[in-house]
Amino acid sequence: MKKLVVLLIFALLLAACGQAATPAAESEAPETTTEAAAPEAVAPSAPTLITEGLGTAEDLVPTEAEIEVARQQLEGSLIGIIACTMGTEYHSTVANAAAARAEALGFTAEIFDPQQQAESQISAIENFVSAGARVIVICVLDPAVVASALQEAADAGVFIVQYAGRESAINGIGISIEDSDLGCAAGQIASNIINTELGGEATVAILDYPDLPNVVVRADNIESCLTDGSPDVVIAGRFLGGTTDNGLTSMETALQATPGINVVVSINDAGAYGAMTALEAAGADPATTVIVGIDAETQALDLIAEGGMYRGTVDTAPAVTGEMTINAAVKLLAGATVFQNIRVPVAQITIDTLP
Amino acid sequence: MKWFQGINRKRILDILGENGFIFIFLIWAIYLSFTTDSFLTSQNIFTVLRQAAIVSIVGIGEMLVMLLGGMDVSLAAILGFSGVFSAGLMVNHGWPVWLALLAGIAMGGLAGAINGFLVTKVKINAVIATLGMMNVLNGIAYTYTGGVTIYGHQMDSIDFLSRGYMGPIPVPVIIMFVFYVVFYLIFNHTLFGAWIYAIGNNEKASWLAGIRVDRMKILAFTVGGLLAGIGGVLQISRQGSATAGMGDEFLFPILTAVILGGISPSGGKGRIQNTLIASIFLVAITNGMVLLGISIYTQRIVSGLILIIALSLDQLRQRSR
Amino acid sequence: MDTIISLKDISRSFPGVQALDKVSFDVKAGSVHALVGANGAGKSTLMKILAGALPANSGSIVLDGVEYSPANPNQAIQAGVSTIYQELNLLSDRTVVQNMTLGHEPARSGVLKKRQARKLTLDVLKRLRADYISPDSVVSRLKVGEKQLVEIGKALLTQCKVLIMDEPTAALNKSESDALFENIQQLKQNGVTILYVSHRLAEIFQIADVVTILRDGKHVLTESIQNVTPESVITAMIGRKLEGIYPPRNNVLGEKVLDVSGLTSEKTFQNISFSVKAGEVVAITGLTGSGKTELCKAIFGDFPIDSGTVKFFDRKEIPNPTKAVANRVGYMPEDRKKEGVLEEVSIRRNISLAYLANLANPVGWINKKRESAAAMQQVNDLQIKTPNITQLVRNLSGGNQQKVSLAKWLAAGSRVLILMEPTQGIDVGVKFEIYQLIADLSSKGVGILLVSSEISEILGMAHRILVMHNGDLCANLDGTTTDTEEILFFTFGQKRS
Repeated sequence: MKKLVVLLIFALLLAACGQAATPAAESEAPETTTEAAAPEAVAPSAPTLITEGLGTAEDLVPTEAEIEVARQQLEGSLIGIIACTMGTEYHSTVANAAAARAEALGFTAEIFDPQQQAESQISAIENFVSAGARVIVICVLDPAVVASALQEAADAGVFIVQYAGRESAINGIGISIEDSDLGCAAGQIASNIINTELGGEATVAILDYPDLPNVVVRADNIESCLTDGSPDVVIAGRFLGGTTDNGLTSMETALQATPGINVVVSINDAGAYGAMTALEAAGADPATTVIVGIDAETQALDLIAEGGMYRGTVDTAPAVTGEMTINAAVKLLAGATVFQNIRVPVAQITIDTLP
Repeated sequence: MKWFQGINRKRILDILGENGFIFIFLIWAIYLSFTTDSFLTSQNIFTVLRQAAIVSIVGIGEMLVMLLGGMDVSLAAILGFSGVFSAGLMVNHGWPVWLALLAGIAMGGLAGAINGFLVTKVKINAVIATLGMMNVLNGIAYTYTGGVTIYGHQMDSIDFLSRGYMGPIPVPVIIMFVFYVVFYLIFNHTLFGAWIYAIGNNEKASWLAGIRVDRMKILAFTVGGLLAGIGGVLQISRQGSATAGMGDEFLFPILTAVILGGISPSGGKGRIQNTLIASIFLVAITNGMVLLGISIYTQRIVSGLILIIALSLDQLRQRSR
Repeated sequence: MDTIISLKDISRSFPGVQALDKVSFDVKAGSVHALVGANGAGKSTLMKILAGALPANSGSIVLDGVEYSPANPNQAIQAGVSTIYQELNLLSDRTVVQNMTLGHEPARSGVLKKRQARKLTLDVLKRLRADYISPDSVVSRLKVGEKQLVEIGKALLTQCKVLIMDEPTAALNKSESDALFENIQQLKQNGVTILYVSHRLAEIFQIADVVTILRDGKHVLTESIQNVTPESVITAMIGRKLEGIYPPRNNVLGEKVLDVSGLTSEKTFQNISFSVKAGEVVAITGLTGSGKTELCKAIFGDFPIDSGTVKFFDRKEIPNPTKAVANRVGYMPEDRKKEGVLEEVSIRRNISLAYLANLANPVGWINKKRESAAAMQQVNDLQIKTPNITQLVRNLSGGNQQKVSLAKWLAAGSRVLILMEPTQGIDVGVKFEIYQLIADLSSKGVGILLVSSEISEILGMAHRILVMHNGDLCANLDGTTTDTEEILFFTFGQKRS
């Protein structure tokens, strides 16, 4: 009995930090968002939110006048930035870019790192509200956990800007990358190379991370866009990725079952590194082996530049996302008319389009 | 007459329970060798063993602490921390590779020693103390890396630790077996091993027999930390990079391997070879499912079921007492 | 009188051991029926079968004319058979009231009647003359003797026809025991049958009506107490005659091996000074709470000291077990299971434990051959009954576990031995073996500090007898010239007139 209890405890413990080392969490935003009542007394002119359709990064670029209003609004107050974690490159880049943008505009901004602990975001929200924050920029780990805290914040007149997800942006703006865009971009990179260099034929492994439903959307779109572009490829299967170690272990094993795998498309770069190590160790020919990831991490860019089997990645634009969150804050503070739901642009990166 | 009475139903349950997971492992292995072409190839067996190396080595450290009736939840974090520390020294600070590796392992030992000190001298519960250590180390690792992966050509020279071969046998497999032989001897033939088992069985009686209980406990935590440090440098060799969160993936497998291997959570009982077999079993579960082509969405269900069955056999034994 | 329990051909075996072999006898209703036998005779097994804790392999029991085969202890209690085990079964974090009324708490429609529970408990404690125990104290705070009284009280509270008692007086002092005997008489008059398991022959002759003797799992005799003598009972138990109970004292005393001076531990004992010479047996006695146990623990480093010094041979030490063992001082604790042995570890390792470092080379490699030889020698010397030295200590009987606990120090070559109640809860046969061992050790020059509440044994063994009362050392008597009366006199703190 004790054994089971101990295992159970650790299962729970792990569930608490279950999202470790995985890419940005997002999900389809509900298209209808209620116009939550912001107390008129606090904001001089409430922003008008357009709930239909998706806005773009350009839509958020503020005018000088708007920046000036926002600056007055923020006098003696601050923007609270609540990250998901500062432990991955993507998340730290978004948060740091947001802070940098805020500083450039002369605002005070403060970053809180919840280290993947959903519960600690609640107290972070409460603390920022009582510290007088006018805007909270947040990467929501678990919408259910923070829902009431965010509602209270919104009731207190605080604007919510959510990134890496849209469902929790009560009376505010949700900025998110579309997982379908990301997956499709990676699938297209692979498809292009397969068609031009491999005669349209290949055996493909997809690295997935089934713990996160939105990441599965990515994997689905990798598969559909790849097979749309290259109908003759064989999909060997989906394997567990998400971390370098998972990617490595999965590919080592997958190569035992299907030694002919020569293309790996991964839902993130970290998993793709592991796949590359496994393929190299198995003696794969760099000329006919293709690995594509998502996230545009520095290491991925380096590997692409080396001209080896790592051929492409998709830029999730973390720095742009960070800037967009602050731009959105300005729009809200200035009482502008703006889309409630914004999509982050994605860019395919190969050796030809390296930044 | 007496020997006959020995072989009764209870005795069979005993044997089955004591080694229940090994039976399930055997059944699983036999099933796979009939249903797949590749499971029983030497290449696949080496793949499984290689993948089990790190968990099984750190598992020895966890076993040491659990034999004492404690639990160290920081070993996975120490693994990540040591890996990041070592890789950082190598890549960012230009330390000679061997020195960076030793420094990483030593930091693991230091973290373990602090755990031991907290448990014995400050008298904090082992789980709580190591939980704290886990957070501190993760925090330092995240702060140091800022979430960025550490990698570089400096790490190429440690490739052989994870991908080299000695004759036909992969280096990590050799390392794993060397550790197990050495620790098998330590557990079964040395004072340290004898005292660990004695303390785990009855701390007060051991203390009254003149054994330096606190010193042994600190030593056990320290050795655990060192082994986790070794796991860390093996892991950065394996993935050719270091990330702050890379230890997280190990927490569950390490504990599962040790518990599945039959280390009693109350301490004092358990065989080191069972920890090794359990580590290999855990890898073989996933390996087999991939070979069988089971979708990753159902893999969890299957692996969960296999673990539950293996653990249930142990309950049978305890009930038969 | 009618027969209340009738056992017919009860057998029970464990792997490698036939614990009970076709045991048959009858117990008369309303009698006090003593069950005696040496270690491993099968008393405990028989008791467990009656208590529903263990099924018999074959045979049948008739209780009050009805077939009786309880599947679990609860069924036994329902059938009117209650048992007080030697290993106490109390919930240590709960209060005396909660323990005593456990399972039959007075309640109305599910609501506990706490005041009534408390009153019931107090009544029973009064009947046991143990009302100095507060019904509200938490059991873990009680002393061993007090816990036993709670156990007895718990059984008295159930409406039982048959009460099985396993060594109930093992941890009781004289007045507690006397109170218990009175209660047994009272229960008997109320028609309750008592099955009384004890090693203390004196008690059996004091209270029992009938005695049943088991040896090696077989029934030897069941006889009315008038028809037996202590000698005949012992002879039947061990299967041979016993010559003189206590071996002669060693008369060659050497240098001081233990010297205690001015030892004080706030509120427990004050300013204690005495010494033990090589080859000398010094006994310490006193009531529960007199500080004798704590004093001896303190000498070994298992109890805090505020002032005073302890010298082993010529070396002054702040006691702790590691230093004591290094000075070849051994300590046999009172609570054997909790402090004396490692139950889940082999006999071999238990015996070698304190000497292990000497059996290893500088790298720490243990020479298992030497370890086995050392353990084997002790097993043979002490006649520890076991098929082999790799057996777990858990599988041994209480007396043999006690021998293992002592063997550890013999193997370590201890020059000073602190023995805490070494014969408590041990049957007569083993008891005499232990007396012989103590005498042998002292003639080999080992200094022995013997803590015991059994006056006859210290009178029989000790060169000197120290009596403690309320934390003071109130007498230092010559063991050869003093007598029971004088010892009791000091034990109860009387000033000599």
